[in-house]
Formats: sequence, C-alpha cells, structure tokens
Amino acid sequence: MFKSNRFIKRRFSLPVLTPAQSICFVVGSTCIVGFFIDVAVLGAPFILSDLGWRIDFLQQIGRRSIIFLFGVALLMYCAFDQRQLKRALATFCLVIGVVSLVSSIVVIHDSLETKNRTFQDISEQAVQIQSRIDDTRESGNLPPEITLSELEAAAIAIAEQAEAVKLTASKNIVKASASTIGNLAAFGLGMIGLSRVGMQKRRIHSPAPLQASSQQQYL
Amino acid sequence: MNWQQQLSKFITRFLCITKKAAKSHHGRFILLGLLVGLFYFPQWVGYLLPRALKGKTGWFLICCMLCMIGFELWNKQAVLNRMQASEEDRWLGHALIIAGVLVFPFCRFALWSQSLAWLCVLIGIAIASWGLVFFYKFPIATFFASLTVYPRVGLISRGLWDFFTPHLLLEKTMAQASSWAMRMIGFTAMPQGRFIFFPEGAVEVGWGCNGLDMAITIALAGLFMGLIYRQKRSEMIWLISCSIVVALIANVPRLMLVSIAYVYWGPQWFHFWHGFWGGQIFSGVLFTIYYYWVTARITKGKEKSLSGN
Repeated sequence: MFKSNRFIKRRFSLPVLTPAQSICFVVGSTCIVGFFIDVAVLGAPFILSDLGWRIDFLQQIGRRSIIFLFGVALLMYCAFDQRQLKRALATFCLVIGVVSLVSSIVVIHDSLETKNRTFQDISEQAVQIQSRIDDTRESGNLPPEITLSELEAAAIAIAEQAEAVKLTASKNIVKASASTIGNLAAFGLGMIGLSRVGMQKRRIHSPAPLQASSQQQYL
Repeated sequence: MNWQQQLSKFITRFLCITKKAAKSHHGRFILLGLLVGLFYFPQWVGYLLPRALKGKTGWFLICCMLCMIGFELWNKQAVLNRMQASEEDRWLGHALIIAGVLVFPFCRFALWSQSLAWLCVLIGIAIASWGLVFFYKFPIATFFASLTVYPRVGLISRGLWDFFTPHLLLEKTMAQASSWAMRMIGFTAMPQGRFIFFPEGAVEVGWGCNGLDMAITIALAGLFMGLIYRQKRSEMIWLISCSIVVALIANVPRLMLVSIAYVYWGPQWFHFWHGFWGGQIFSGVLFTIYYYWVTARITKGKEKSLSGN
C-alpha cells in the first residue's frame, strides 16, 4: 500500500520547478497553444487535396513557426533536469524538424503546379481575345473608326501583355514559395538543433546531477 | 587473372561488405538509404546519357565533380576513418534516411523531387556515419555532391539568375555590347532591347546566347584547376572571378560572329556557328586561352614564392 502510494507520487506528481523554469513553462505553453489555435482556425476546413488550401496553409505555418520553436525551446529548458522527458521532447523536435524540411518538396511541387495553371489560364484568355480579333477581321464589318492596322497593333499588344502578365505572375509565385521554403527550412533546422541539444548527454562543462538532488525533485 | 575472375572476386567482396553491414543497426539504415540511390540512379543516368550524346557539357562537369569528391575522400581516408558520429548525430542521420526513403515513392513524378529525396538520404548517411563535422571538414565534397545530385545544373543557375537579376539584364547588355563592337568595325547595328537591328534584318539574343552557361562552366573549370594545383583560397577566388569575366567578354565576339553569319552569310553559316560545331570551336578556343593563362599565372606564383624563400 505504502509502496504503491510512493510509486504514484513519483510517477504523477509534478516536478518542482525553479521560478525561472516556471515562467518559461507558462510562456512556452502559451506560445504552443497559441500556435495551434492559429493553425486550427486558419486551416479550418482541412482539405489536404486542394492546391490553394495547401499553399496558403503551409505559408501560414511557415510564418508562425518561429513562435512554435520558441515555445518548444522554453519547454525544453523546463524539462532539462529530467532525462526521460527531455529525451521525449528532443525526439519530438527531431521528427517535426525533419518533416518540415521534407515538406519543402510539397511547396515546390505546389508552386510549379500553380505556375503551370496560371500560365495556361493567361494563354487561354489571350488566345480567346486573339480569335475574336481574327473573327472581326474576317467578317469584314469593322466599325468605321477602327482600321485593319489598328487591329494588327492590338493583336501584338495583347501578345506582349500576356507575356508581361505571365512574367509578373511567375515572379510572385516564386517569391511566395521561396519565402515559405526559407521559413520552413529555418524552422526545421532550428528544431533539429534543439533536438540535438536535448539529446546530448551531459558533458564536462555541466557535471551530472547528484543522485540525491534528482530524487529531491520527485518528493 | 582474367577479367571474369576479377569480376567474381569483386562481387564476393561486395556481398561480404553487404552482409557485414546488414548485421548492425546502422548498417541496415545505410543499406535502406542506398536502395533509394539504386532506384534514382537509372533516372539520373537516363537524363545525362542522351544529352551527353548530343554534345552537351553537363555530363563532363558532373563527372569531374564526382572525381573530385572521390579524390578528396580517398586522400583523407585516415581522417574519415577516425571520425565517429555521436549519438545525436546517429539519430539525426537515421531520421533523415527514413524521411528520404518514405518520401521517395511519392516523388517519382519528376526528376527534381527524386533528387531532393536522394539528397536527404545522402545527407543522412553522411551524418549517421561521420557526424555533422563531415560537412565542416569536407566542404568541397559537400558542395560538389549537392551539385551533382540534380543533373540539370544549368536549370538551377538559370532559376537563381532570373530570381536575383532584373528581367533580360544579361541579354540586353550583351546585345548592346556586341552592337557597339560591330559599329566599331563598321557594321550598322543598333540594339533595341534584346534585339540587334541591321538594315538587312534583326537578331534576337536568347537565353542560350547570353554567355552565362559558358561563364559557369569556365568558373567550375577554374575551381577544378585551383584544386588540382592546390592554390590558396584567395587565389582560387581570383581565378574563378577572372574566368567569369573572361567568358562574358568572349561571348561578345561570338555574338558578333553569329549575328553577322545570320544576316549576311546566310542560314547555313548561321547554323554552323550557332550549333554544335560553332559551340565546340568557341569553347575550345576559350578553354585553351584560359588554360594557358592560368598555368602561366600559377608557375609565376610558384617562382615568386621560391625566390621569396
């Protein structure tokens, strides 16, 4: 009876935290909860197969990821004296970090796909206008204020404009995806760095905690 | 010993290594990662080989880079054997390998995605076997390995160039420079945007004619020569930057020749100078000049250092 009571106490009572660690715990968990609320609200109808949703969602995650990293780092600081918890957190960080690095493949794929679709749209519109001009020219019933040479000039202008629109569209898409990839990669590398800090065994500069002190925390 | 015996010896040795690797936890992870390489390799060769047969230079650069990687790793074998991955390195490396292996089947739709997955696996193998220090101690091997993973080096350089510079900057500059040079010799050439206008016709300076590909190729050649002759870092930067400038300047006479051929000599000569043979002649001349200039510079530097001592 006594034994099991102590077991429960050991197992389930919260560790004693220093004031700095308590503050870090509060701030860290707030950051993480805030991040998840943001993600849940922004991504609300989760449609993984939708291209637009995926781009937008990953962009938002990329922008807010630093907050998540900050929160996890603070939690890691709280858990620094407990080996098991620290290890679990470090493994979690490693997985999240690698996943966010690999997710850049999805971002590149999506941006290429959007670019293709946008280009197709622009080309189709240009072709439609062009065919309308051709129809007018062939039918011969031009309004008196428009001449044939003006129609030619309009056709050339449309082609040029379509090129210009394509150029700006592709620039915008590439820029957006590059910033998303950059954010996700920075976040992923940060998470991996955190996980390495958490996995390191205590080395010379920070001597291993005494058996007594580590037991004290559970009491 | 004839070649069949040698081959069988090689195969038994290979199987022996594989069996040995499959016994340890780490070895199994590496074999799993190499499986991705096995699937990616045909795609990689399948892209390079047809282009090599067409006379493109990409395959040669990639072969040089692979040789450089092999050379560096072979030379520093002792360092490599002494390096050991810590526990967190192992974890990270194995996580990267697993991520690459899991992602690879979904990446078969294009070459770039497969190459990214393979890059992930390669980085994982390096970290799990030798630790993160590897990238610090073998910077050249790391750089070349990351370049060779995706066989379309030209596409990457074009994307980067388009991203960081204004639209058609180099083409317009080239058109202006070459029409200025042609006016010097007596032709009436006027640049307008990326077009060069003659009284008899006009020439468009396209992406392939702006000289950037050649500049990158020669820059890599400069890097190779700097590495082979074991130059200092500052000297290497000097070699590379000079090579880029030389290649871009040498592109002006080429453009002049091609546009004069197009306008005045007829389409046959244009195709000759613009196509395979013209490109080979031009790059041959450029490489020869560059090679002699570099060797002269290096021997001069050696003499100087000898006399200084």
